[in-house]
Amino acid sequence: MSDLRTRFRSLDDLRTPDLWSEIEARATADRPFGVGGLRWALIAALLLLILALAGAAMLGSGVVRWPLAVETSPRPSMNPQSSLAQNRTDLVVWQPPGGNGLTGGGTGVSYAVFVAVRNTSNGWVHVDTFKSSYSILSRGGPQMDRGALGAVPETIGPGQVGYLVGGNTYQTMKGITPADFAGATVSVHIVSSAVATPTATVVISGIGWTKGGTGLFATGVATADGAAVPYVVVNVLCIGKDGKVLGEAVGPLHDLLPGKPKTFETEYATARLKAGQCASAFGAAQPENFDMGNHGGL
Amino acid sequence: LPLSPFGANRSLYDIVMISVARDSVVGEVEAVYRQEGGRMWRALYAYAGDEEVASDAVADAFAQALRRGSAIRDVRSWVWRAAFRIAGGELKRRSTVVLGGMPEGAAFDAHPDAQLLDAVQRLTTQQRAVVVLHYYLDCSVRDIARRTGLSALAVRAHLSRGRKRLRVLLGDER
Repeated sequence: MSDLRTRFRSLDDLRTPDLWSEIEARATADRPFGVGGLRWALIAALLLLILALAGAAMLGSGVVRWPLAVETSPRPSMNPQSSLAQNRTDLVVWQPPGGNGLTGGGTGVSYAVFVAVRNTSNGWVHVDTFKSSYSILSRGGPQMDRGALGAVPETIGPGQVGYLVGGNTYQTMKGITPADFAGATVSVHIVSSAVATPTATVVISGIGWTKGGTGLFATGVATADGAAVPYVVVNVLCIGKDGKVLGEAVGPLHDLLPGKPKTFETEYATARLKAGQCASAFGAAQPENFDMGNHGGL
Repeated sequence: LPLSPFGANRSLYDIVMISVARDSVVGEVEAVYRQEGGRMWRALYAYAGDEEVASDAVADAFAQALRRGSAIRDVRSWVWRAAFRIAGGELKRRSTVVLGGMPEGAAFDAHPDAQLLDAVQRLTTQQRAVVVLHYYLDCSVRDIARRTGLSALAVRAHLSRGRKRLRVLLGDER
């Protein structure tokens, strides 16, 4: 197992086909401008431009008169204003003993960022998790780390609360201690857009906590509403008495049928939660687009 | 109606700029293909266990990138994500996928570590994707999420589970 990376490197011995001509052929199949025809289109456009400029020159000289009013259609806004109000941001830092269980050892610092948001609009809002990001700034100002923000759930209904989650819980930061985070601040950049009401949503209820080998794990019930959902990832956040998010537990769940509750148990906690810490919980299930069949079960 | 020369100029300007932009996009997409196409094909081959699926997914992903042009901001991330989706969709469509066997083929025959690829094929599709991206391409969780469309939270869960399962399959359980 330790040489798994080395073993995967043997893939580099595989011969690979050159697909570029095939790619061009597929791309030009239904394009108004073929890849090979781009230069011709450019030349034709330049010729037309010269003719048009000549016409404009004639207009300027008074030889030809044209109406001067030019109408342009309004352009859609590319940056719709976010409808997500940021309620609070929590930074949780901890030191996994002997690594975090996945990296297989070593020391370092793990952290998680939780951003509570509320959809203040009348419609559904989708968080763009490819563009939403966070930065952690130390007390002195320099950036300590940055990364992408996931969202639970990614699509938030009107008036509903959601959380944006980030962190380095898989790869610890080396050479620092949790004390280095004292006085650190988190800067958050959220990108979202209005979307249509989703055809299916998943409601999480009956959340409980159970003690596992590496911390607490969440249990509960997930119920699909509206349509069947083949695959979701359930996230349960542990919230302390003061409202601060202390950690999360994550687990996949398959084949939810509408109106039929299904029990779940998360299998992976990203922080070492302790019994009694969680005064309340927030649960959400994010339908994953990456449902590529479940050959063999998870 | 008479044409406005300003309107005509505007539209010509647009055509020129679009043509220039498209040439630029073709260059960018081809550069990404030349840089990443080989590794992408190998990763998809390990993921799908099928040369045809790998070739089709790579070709289709890059072709779509060409068609979409400047609408794609990050070509590299986009084609990776598209290719895995296309390959995954094909695997799903082929309901006859049989677990536990690596199909024979020229590429497979040339591969020296059949045991590894066979074990990878016994993982779930999601586990396969994250394991290949992590161990073959050295992708971080964040990067895997970007390339597959999975949330980072899901990536962590699949990586953890896939790694454990590989350990068993490769006879390295301690």
